[in-house]
Amino acid sequence: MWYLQADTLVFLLGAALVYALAAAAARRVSPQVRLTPFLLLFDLGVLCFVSPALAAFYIGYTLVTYAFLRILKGVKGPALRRGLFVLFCAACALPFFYARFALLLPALPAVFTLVGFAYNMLKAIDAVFYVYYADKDIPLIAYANFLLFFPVFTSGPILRYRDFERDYLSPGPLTLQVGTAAAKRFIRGMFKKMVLVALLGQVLARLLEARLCLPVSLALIIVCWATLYFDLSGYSDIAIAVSSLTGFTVAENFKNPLTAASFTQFWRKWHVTLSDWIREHIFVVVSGKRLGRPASAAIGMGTMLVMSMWHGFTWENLACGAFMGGLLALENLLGLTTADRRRTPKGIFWLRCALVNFAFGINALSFSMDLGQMWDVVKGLVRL
Amino acid sequence: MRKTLDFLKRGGFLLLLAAVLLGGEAWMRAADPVGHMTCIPRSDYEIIRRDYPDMTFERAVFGSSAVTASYIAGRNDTGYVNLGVDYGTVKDITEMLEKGLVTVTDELVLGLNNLSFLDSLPTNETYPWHREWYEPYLYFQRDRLYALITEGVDSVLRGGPFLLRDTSNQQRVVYRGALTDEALFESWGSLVERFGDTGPADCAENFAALDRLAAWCGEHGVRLRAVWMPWNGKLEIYPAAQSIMDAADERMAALGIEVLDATRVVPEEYFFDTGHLNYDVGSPWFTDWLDPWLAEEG
Repeated sequence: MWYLQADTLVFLLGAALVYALAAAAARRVSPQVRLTPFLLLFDLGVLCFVSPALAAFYIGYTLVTYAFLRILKGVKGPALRRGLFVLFCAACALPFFYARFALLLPALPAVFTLVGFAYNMLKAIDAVFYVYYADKDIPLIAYANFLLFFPVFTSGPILRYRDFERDYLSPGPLTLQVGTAAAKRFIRGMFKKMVLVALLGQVLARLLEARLCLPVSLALIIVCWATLYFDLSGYSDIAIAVSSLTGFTVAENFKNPLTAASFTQFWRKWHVTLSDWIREHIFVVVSGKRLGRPASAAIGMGTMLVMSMWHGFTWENLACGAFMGGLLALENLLGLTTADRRRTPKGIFWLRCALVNFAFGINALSFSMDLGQMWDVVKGLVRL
Repeated sequence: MRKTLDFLKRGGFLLLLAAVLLGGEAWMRAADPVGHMTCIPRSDYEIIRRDYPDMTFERAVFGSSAVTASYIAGRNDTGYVNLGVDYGTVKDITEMLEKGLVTVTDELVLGLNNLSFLDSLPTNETYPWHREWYEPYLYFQRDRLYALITEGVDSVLRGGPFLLRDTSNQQRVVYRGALTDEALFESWGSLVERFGDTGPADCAENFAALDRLAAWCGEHGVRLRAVWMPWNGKLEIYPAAQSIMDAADERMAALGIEVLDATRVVPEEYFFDTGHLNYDVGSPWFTDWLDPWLAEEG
């Protein structure tokens, strides 16, 4: 994560501040002037600073995927258009699948440096969707800016083109309030990543040395939940803060997941941009928008499996995807997807929140241990 | 006035933050509070600075732990100070001098072995000359602070004190006694395994630093000499080491640096291991042997 490396952090913050001050100065000269197209220079500067090979790869990827957009926009026949749409979406993801199966495939030249690719591929596919469904053109510079937007380059939150375009055409002004909010959020994110996650790591290590029984297993589940939350939301805080300096409002990734009383609600509050992306780009498109319970259950299961495998093609991820997907599917089948906070008795509501987060905590164990250890922790829950 | 007040009100947090960050950083860079803490293990550089606060020396012998453990400053009346630091390389002393972290006014002697020129030699990351301009002080010291806090919390949780050590009298490491032959050959084998494939091509940065060091000494009127430190006679100078030493000799000859070869002068029984002398008997012997050469007028 680039924000944790001192030299890259200085470069990233420096780039954001220089751009922000230039944009503010330009705005003073004329409110109509926007410098967003020039952000691309900063994007490429950051990439080159980190690795010229990475920059070369992403320039190539940007041009190739932009060619997909141009072709898609130019094609007239609906069948051909649909075919190309599917083909281009798959082609955007090719390097991702290569990386996941790299051990089974011939080695590629060193220029294939895939830092942040799991996220950026989703943005490229989103642009294909945008051109296909909105039937609108995307200018090359805007597309390159979208794909290479440096504040969110390595780990999201995942941008969608329609949101990016809004700020690209009309970026927010840099005011003292924006600067203050960005500084506070940046500090908060750094504190989560640098202090809380590190300290939780120590607690986790101590807990793993202890005999597994109910309190220890519960503590492990809570610690793993908290570690994952502070890690991911800390990163999101940092990325959102830096983005806001450049005039872009990046979508929130975490919306108080502890208040989720169902798994459906949970995934609208946890790593929101990823679960939204998968739901909107895969299942809603495939199934249409009016769904019965069985279809919703199947979509829930599919979404969880895809999301888990996106993290990595491992047995741990497959098992966790099936576990979370199974719960989501069950919830859909039983019609328990929503719980109105005002109408549900307080005790029931918070009990449901606790159960949902507890189940996710079991899933969160997979980010800190292997399947065998996870199973031991679960068995510990029934041992006093 | 109202505008200023309004600005202060709206931008107060940012101003305060900037003041704390910049002011705190400036103070910490100047005062080096972590380097002066007595509850954190000190680096060799910090121990030398504690003992010689102005860090200005007329005559000094610089090198790695081989120098620290083998030369006893003050044993004879040569006026040389031992500036040996763990993992000290030619690049290190060059950067120390260039960054003003140490000043030598008259004579500088490099105590060398092949590792003194190796670019990839591990180092103590907390030596202040390793800090880049963009690294905030607390970031640079993060590992030591992290260890202090986590070890302290661990100790408190186990019913012990938070502060676990007092390093106010910590000394640089010296070696006493001698390794058994078995341990000696094992340690030497490990050295060969780690560095047996290296050669002059792995020393580019240190050779360049040697050029800069010679230039610095020339500019500041400092006499620069070098000594190849003792090598245990039971052990071969492995080919990779010899190739680096030969290349360094060539380079030093070209720079007009006087070199003394002490690799094979110390009897085997005075060694602790490959290049560290037994401080009780080997180091006095070597110091007495070296001091007349150090005392020679230039």
